[in-house]
Amino acid sequence: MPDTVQTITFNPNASDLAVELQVLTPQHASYTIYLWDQAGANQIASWKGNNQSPSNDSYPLPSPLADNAHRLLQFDAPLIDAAGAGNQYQVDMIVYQEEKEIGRVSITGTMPATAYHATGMARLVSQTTEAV
Amino acid sequence: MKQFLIFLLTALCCTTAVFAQADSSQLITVDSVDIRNYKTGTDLAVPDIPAFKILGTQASDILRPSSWRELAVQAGEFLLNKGGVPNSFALEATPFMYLFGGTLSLAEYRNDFERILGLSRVSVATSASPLGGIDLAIGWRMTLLDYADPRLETGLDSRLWTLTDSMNAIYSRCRTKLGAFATQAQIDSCASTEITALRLNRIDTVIENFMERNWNRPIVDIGIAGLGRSGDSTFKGMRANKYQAWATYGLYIARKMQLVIGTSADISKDSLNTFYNASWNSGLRMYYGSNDLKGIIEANWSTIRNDKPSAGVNIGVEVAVQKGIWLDATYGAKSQSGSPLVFVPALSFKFGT
Repeated sequence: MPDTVQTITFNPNASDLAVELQVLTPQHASYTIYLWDQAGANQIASWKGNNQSPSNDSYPLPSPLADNAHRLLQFDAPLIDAAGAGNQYQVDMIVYQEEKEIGRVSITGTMPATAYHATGMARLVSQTTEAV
Repeated sequence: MKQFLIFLLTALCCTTAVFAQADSSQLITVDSVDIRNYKTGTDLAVPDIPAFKILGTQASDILRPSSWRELAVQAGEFLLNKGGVPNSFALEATPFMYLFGGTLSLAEYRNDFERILGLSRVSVATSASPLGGIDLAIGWRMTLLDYADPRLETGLDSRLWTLTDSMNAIYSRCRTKLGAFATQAQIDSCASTEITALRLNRIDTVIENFMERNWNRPIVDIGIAGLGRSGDSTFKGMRANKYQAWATYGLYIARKMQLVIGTSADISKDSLNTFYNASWNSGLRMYYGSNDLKGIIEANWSTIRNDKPSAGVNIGVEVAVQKGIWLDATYGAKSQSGSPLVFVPALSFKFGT
């Protein structure tokens, strides 16, 4: 299966790798962020939340950081727009290293109905792995 | 009229400054939403427009309060002209929502001080004067309290987030079962039975229940307007000849009822072209019905300087013809001591975005 998933490159020798979910449009949203193994069959970790609170939507990835090479980050986010269909939605999954953004998966579109399920995925790539 | 314009511009500048300050510290966070789009499915009545009200074309002096609209249009006096062409027309806008709403979060919107200043509405109205010439009015309104505004209803938020949390649990189970490379369609199919039940049976019900439960929640509006008259349609030589101020309090009485208490005071020019005439008007209006269809019954009375007091009653209906389009139809009887009873039918259309 060809891997057409967006990649996000991180430095395994640096510190503080984290993933955050942002809902930038006026929908009520909940989400699950998954960290999968390279094959996408086994979950390493998952985090749940919603956009009710302005904080606590950022999660540190497990250490040692090098183990995250080739792993998949994915989110599922059910959205509800009380205005019904027609409003734009945008859900971004952002990866930070040492508090700097190193990659972003941005899923946008138009709400086709009152409720919609947004999903996005990225593969983590280690700078060292690529060099090797 | 010039003084009124200066006051209006000063009010606009003050509110602009408040929002400019709020925006400078704005960071995009998870629940930063464009408040302009956060309308929800609710369609509350389009409020009366102060500039329209001062034209004096309606039997009632109560300024009907309601949650703000980005833009509202009111047309009236259809019954004066054959062919149904409105004789008077008004437009009300909430300019700060256009200018700053795009970066205003729900949390900031729920800050009373910023919201009250920012949701000031300005209006303009025109009418063919029965005395000849054209009447032009400008108005300003501020909502001090509004429990019907869905954007302030944290209870509705909580219920909708409960739904997304429930849906999230279902999607998460399907994703775990099918793996990372399952397509969106496969995940949706897996979750469809439970999600469909949630979507069809609960989301619409939650919103409909909110509308039916909230249209008559407490609201307080104040407004002012100035009216000028010009001899022709070019507005040259326009002179101010009336100012009016309103205060209205809508309060919850029972599940299908709202009582609106309104008062207004106005001052206008007399035949010697001096601001000598003045009146104080008060009224009680009862709404009964559902959000989309309400019956109206109203009693009002006026104390007029150097003239006999008057009193009147109105009955009518307020109907949502379509989403955003409302019709008011009233029939009133007005009596002034020593004068015969005067009957006043009125029909006006309101449109709000």
